[in-house]
Formats: sequence, C-alpha cells, structure tokens
Amino acid sequence: MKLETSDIKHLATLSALEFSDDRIEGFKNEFNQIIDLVEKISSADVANEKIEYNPIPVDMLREDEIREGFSQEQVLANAPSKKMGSFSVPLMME
Amino acid sequence: MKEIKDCGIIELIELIKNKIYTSEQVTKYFIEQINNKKDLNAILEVFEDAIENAKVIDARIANGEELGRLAGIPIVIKDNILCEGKIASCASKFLKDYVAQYSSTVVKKMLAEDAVIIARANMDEFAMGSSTEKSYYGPCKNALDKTRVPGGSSGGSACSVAGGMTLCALGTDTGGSVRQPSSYCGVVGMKPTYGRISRFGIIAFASSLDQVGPITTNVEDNALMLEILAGYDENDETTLRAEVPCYLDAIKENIKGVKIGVCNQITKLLKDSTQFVKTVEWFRSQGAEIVNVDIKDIELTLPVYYILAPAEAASNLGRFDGVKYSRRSENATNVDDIYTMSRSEGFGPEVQRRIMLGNFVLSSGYYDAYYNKAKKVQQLVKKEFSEAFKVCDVIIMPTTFSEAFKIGAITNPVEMYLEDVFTIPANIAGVPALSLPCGKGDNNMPLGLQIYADNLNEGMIYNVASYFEKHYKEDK
Repeated sequence: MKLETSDIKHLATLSALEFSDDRIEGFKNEFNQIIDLVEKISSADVANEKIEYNPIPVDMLREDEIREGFSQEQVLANAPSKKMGSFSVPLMME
Repeated sequence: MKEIKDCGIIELIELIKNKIYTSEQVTKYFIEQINNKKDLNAILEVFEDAIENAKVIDARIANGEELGRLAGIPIVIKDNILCEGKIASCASKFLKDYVAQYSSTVVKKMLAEDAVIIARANMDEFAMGSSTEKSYYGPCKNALDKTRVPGGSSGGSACSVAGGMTLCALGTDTGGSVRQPSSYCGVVGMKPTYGRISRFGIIAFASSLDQVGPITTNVEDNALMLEILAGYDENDETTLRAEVPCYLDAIKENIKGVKIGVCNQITKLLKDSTQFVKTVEWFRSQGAEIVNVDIKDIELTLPVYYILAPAEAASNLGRFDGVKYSRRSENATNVDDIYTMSRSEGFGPEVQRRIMLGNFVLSSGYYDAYYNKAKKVQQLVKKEFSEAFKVCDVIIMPTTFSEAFKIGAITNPVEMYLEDVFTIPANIAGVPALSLPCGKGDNNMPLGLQIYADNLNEGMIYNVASYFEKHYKEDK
C-alpha cells in the first residue's frame, strides 16, 4: 500500500504533531519506504499463532494494598505551570 | 601498584577495600578522564555530589564497616535512567529540565551496594536510533575514532567505557541499543532476558522490549554487574521471580562439549563471512560442538520490531503533553495548542517519525494487518528460538555487519533501521544476548561477536564469552 499526503496529515493530527508542507512530503516518502519494510511480515504463516499481549505470562500479582504514594509536591515538581496544588492550563471554556 | 586505568571493577573493589586507593581518588580520576574527553560528547553531566558520595564511602571503610559489592566504584548511567534529584532528559529538548523525583530500581540496587553514580551519558533521543547522532545535545563520537559514531542508542554509555571514563555504564536495549554500541566501541554489553532487570524508573520507549543492560570492559565485570542488577521487583510486575544465580560461578574456564549453534538464516545474510567462519572454527578447535540451527523467520523480527516498538512508543510518549512534564511551548494559548505545539517543538524528527508510525500501525483499518500480525509473528519466532535451544546451548552471530560507520554516513531512516538486523531478534524473542569484542575490521575498528542463549541462561553466555575473551586473541 502507499500513503498519500492526506494520510500523513491525518496521522499528524492523531499524533498531536504539526509539520510544514515540506516535512509532510518528506514523511510521505520515508513512510512508504518503512511500510515496504514492515509489509514483509504479510508472508508469514501465523494461522496457528495466538496473540500474547504480555511479554511474560503474568500469573501472580502482588497484593493490592494501600501504600504511601508520591506527594503532591513531587507530582507537580516538573509541571511547566501549576496553581493551588494543580496542573494549570489556559481557560478551556468561556 | 596497578594503576586505576589498568583495573577492572573486580580488581578495583579489592584495591579500595584494602585501602590502596580511596573511592575519592578513583572517582576524581574518572571525572578527570570525562573532563579531558569532553570533545567526545559522551557525558551530558557529571553529578556534583559524586566526590562527596565517594568520601562518605571512604569514611565508612576507614570505620571498618562492612560495605557492599560495589564499594566505592564509579558508575555512569544512561540519560533515561532516573536518579532522584538529578536531571534525566532522554537527550530530548522536551525533558531537558526534567528532575527525577525518585530513583529507578537499578540505581537503588547499585547504591545499596555502595557504588558512586558519577554522571549521565548521551544517547539517541528517547533511545530511538543506532548511532547517538540523534541527541538534542549533539552527536557522541566514537572514543577510538572521532570521525565515527559510537553506535546507539546507548552510545554515550559505551563510549564512556571505551574511553576510560568509567568501568561500567548502564544502557538500555530495546532493539540492540546496548549490544550494537558495545560492538562499535570494543566493549562488553549484555541484554538480559526480558524481565531479568527491573524497568521501574526507566523512561519507557517500548515497554514489552526494553531491558537495562550493563556495559563493561570485560566479561567478568559484566557478570558481577548483572548479578547486582537482576531480580524480581514489586514495582515492575514484568520482572521474573526466578532466583538470581552467581554468574561469576557460571564461568568454568572450559567450553568442551558446549553446543554452539550457528543459525543458517543468519549465515546467509552475511556479506562477508570470513571473520565469522574463522570464529566458528576456533570454537570447534577448542572442543565445542558446532550445531547448525534453523530459525526460519528470524529475518522477520526486523519488520516486527518496526511495528511493535513504534506502536508502544506512540502510546508511551503520549504522556508528554506540555502539562505534566518539563516543557510547554511558549507560543501556546489554548489547551490543544499546548499539546500540539509542545510536542512539535519538543520532540526531534526521529521521535516524531516513530510516533507517527506507531499511530499508523495502531489505527483502525490497519491494526489487524500490522500490529496483530506482528504480535503473532513474534510468537512464531519465540517458538523457533525455543526449538533451536533444545539442540544447542548458545547461538553465535556477529553483532553488526561491519565496523562503526562515519558520522553522517547514514541519513536514510530505513538504512539505519537495517543496522539492527542481528540484535533485534533477542528483543523480539525476549532471550538474553551479549556482545563482546571479536577482532578488528578493515578500518582497524572493533567488531563484535554476539552470544544468544535461552531465557534465563545468562550464565552459559558468560561462560562462553569469558573463555572466548581469555583465549581467542592468543590463538588467532
């Protein structure tokens, strides 16, 4: 398959990224090469394979107990903007 | 008296313990090396408390206290490993001011053994790359030839070991990022079994593939480091509950009867197999049994990787939204702009490419054909590895096609991705693999030999690797 300019723009929106038109065209060429690479898996016979989403089968989990977490100060330490113990963003509704 | 520069970790521990050197002397020595080699751009920051921490260790030794297994030994960490109170930037503009609020399990384990964490190392941004050219802080250079790359993404870590700036650096390996730079820099790097080392406090790239790995100057030091780093962690439920053996005890000084597998599909890929064939024959001459094995779909691990890793990266990097971590675009005036502008300004091109690719393979209409199919091929390859390890103890193959390439020589992303064809299978199958130096190439730069083993059989890898390290050169 081949991706078109409109597909790349859609992917940029999904990714919360924006690019100049030149970059979009650049991406299109690169993506089509990458897709040629990853499409090689289409030939594999996987009729008998089941999907394991966990890399290691998890059959034991630790007890779900209440523990000390991070402090509000720690959680907010790296926030670019904070107010009254919260993450701060511009007004969303008028 | 043996000079610091000629010691390995195990020797230096003894010298510090016996008060021949103080940890302060050793730490100052390595920091001086870092300062003398700033042009390599391997180290992003020397931690200002390093010498103070070394002095504390010395005071405890002077007091006659019983110290840990890394007492006074300076260690470098990759810039995606959290150490409380220190910046961990992933070599990204996005996280350039991000200060870790807690320490990773690996850092805690090393500190519990009285190591001194001295610096953080350069890397490809968010560990996405094979050359350490894609760092916000500029490319790292190879310590053995400044015109060449050190490999990546743990290029700063491998370069710091090769350049004598530390005896051990931690890296992370998602598709070869510990082993390929170790090969290019002529040092020893291990990617353990998935789940052997905790990922708690490691900034995630592709969580189902990421593993921390030690990079050292020799095999025995590496075995010691893995023993210290490995083990179950209740903060990472993907860690294995298996007991951690003494890996140094696994080194038997003998490989007679060890079954060494050579993968037919890998041999076919080699452009020039002279060096590899020579290595295989050397093992045979030492009494190992050479077994040809098939891992029919091993070549498909590369496309599988470039589906699964970007898919997980796209999800993991969703958290960098300009609200919680570090950086927000100064031009953003509303919430949507905060997301889009912060990410567009903060991430470099390779990271953006992989986020886009990940969202493509996960998007509706393509999910089954790419992501689900790749997960199934992964199972297929895991089974093929498992079958192969029924007839051999280890599988050997080169780490890379050739020596470290010139800085700027590879600009096409796909060409760069193909660099990882021998390392990616270990991450996709989850099995351990180590790279160690194996002669030189045409440009007198190091080549690496890779040793794969079945899950949790790192001991066998260290045994074969140590024998090779000690005897191969003399017999060449």
